[in-house]
Amino acid sequence: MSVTTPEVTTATSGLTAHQLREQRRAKISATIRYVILAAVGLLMLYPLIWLIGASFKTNSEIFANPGFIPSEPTLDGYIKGWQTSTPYTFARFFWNTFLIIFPKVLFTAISATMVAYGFARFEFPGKKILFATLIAILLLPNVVTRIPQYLLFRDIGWLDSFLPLWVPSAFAGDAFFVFMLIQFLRAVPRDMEEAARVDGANSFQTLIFIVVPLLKPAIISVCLFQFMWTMNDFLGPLIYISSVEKYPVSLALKLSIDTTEAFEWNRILAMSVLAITPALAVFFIAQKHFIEGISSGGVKG
Amino acid sequence: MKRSTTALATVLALVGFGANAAELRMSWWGGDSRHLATQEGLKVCGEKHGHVMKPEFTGWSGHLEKLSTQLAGGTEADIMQVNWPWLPLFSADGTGFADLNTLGEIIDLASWSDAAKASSTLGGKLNGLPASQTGLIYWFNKGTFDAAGLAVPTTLAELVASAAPMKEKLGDDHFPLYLVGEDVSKWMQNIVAQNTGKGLIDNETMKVAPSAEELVAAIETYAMLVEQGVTPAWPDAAAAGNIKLHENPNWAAGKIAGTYVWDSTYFKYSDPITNGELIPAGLLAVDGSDNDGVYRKASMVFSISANSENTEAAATVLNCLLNEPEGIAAMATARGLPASSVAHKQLADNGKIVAVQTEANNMVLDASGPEVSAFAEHPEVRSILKDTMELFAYGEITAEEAAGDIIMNVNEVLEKY
Repeated sequence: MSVTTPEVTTATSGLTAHQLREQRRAKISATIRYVILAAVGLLMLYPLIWLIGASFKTNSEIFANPGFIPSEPTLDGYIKGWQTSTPYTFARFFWNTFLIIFPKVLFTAISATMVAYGFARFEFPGKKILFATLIAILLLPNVVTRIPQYLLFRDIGWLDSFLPLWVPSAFAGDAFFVFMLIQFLRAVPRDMEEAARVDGANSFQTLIFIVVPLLKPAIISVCLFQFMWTMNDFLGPLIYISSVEKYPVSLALKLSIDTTEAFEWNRILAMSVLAITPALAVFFIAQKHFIEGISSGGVKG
Repeated sequence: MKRSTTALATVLALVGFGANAAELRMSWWGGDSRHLATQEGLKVCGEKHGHVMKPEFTGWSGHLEKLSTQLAGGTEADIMQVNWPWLPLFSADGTGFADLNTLGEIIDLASWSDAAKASSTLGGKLNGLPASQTGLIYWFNKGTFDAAGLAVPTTLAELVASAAPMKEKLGDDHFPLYLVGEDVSKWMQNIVAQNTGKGLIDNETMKVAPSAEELVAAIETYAMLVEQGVTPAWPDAAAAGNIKLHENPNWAAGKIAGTYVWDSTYFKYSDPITNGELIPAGLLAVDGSDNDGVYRKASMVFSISANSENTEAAATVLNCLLNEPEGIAAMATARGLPASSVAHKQLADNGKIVAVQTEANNMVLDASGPEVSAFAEHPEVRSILKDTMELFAYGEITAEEAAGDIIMNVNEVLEKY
């Protein structure tokens, strides 16, 4: 990183003109780099900063004042937004979201890993056709299966419950994650698994004790993606859930947006700020593993 | 507690409410004020008639998808708020929803005018009761016209003539009207109707009613408005970010002095104005027209599910919401001025209706014009009109090409019905 060596820095007084020039140039180039990075970073983050700033504005100020610093900061948006126009507070909607996300993320991780393991490590009759089906599902837009799925869940009697939202994931319904894990597994050498087999482990034990630890970074990515997508999913809950008391955050946020009525943007913005907080928190907590996974994966390759 | 509930139930049974206690679902879309008003309405009406009401509400976006799925699966709520243009999508022959005529003993249908009921009758079956009747009228910011020393226009010619003096006096960024986006296609239908007495779509033949020449005349009138600086040009408005008028600082400041929107949206447009006062101006006459060409429709209707197991209970509650004092007081004007005459009278007597709302609504109700087909609100028809007019506004196609495209593409959509 630095252009100076320890010998040179200890003898500050004895720097030659050339070294001084080098040092200055390094400083200038670092300054320029940081200024550009900070400016671009700020530009990218601006919508987010504006969102947070605007959530403290009054509704009329949001359109009058384009800057992000509120002239008269108010918590009104948070207080009124939290109360909502329903008999429930936003806490209820956060809890509902959690009730969907928790089983969905958990079962996605388990089922997608098992299915990926099967596809990546075993030969069985019909494997090619099944794999082709998996890819076909991947390419199929979600929307086209909505009505048949809706009819299916209606006949099972699961409408207006959280089950249709997470049960498909418990059977590796998310083809993308299975595909992602298969690709990751293909890059992992089989040596350790073979060693485990020699030591007498069966397939399941190999999966749990050898494959899963190796796959950990990929599984964490799967969980993160599933968390974010579920948090943002609007159409699924919209269609399957009809009781207001079971609404997740994504539905609740749009609850007051109508076309014929002007609405209180500051409440919606305030609740949006709260809604992105868990996603950010989860990402920062998982970031260590996430980054670790990417770098260690690179070394192994 | 338990005893008192039982006693209450007995009393209710003795008084002779037709239906037994039922659990009913009602679905609607809207904003905060409508949610609160309707929940309150369901609470009082549910208690009055001894039914348990389960409200199900969302915002606007996605409601059509939700309702479509529910109707496809037969799991829709017992009482539904349905957008008027959706009726032919779900119930082309009138069997998609319960026929409210058969529930005439429970619901006082006399509260609605025949015209209102006709607008939601399909295949001879009354599929829904209009919550309110709404129509497009001109609204002007009187303050801006006063500042320019102009009278508020009463004819289209006066409107056009007001543009130049307004710009001269107040500056080039002032416009007497804002006509951009879908408003253009709605406004054009008003011009066609005034010129020819025809609506856009003829329900008998299921074809576009006006001829190509008649459409060209209306399209050219729009081009003239842009040319004369009456309204900002579509491309300019898009370049400015396509800001919604009620969120546009120029509207708040009175620099844009007029709009052509639904009478029911008065507060949405009047609230942001900081400079001037918004007044309804009815419909501006085109030279030589014999009708006002009003574009009037039921803004939304209340329907009862054809699959409901408690049709009568649902009808009781619906009647309470729309025709009985408790329900009317709770629902108030959350869906515009009620189309039910009983509700309108009660709210007016209690001072719940602002004078300007009544004034604007009367302008809509009193105006004349050809019948508006529900298909004019069909999502595909709307997007054809909007897209074609956009191409025209950007100079990509001529007025003749635009008229030809509209006739051909709209007829193609109508062929499916």
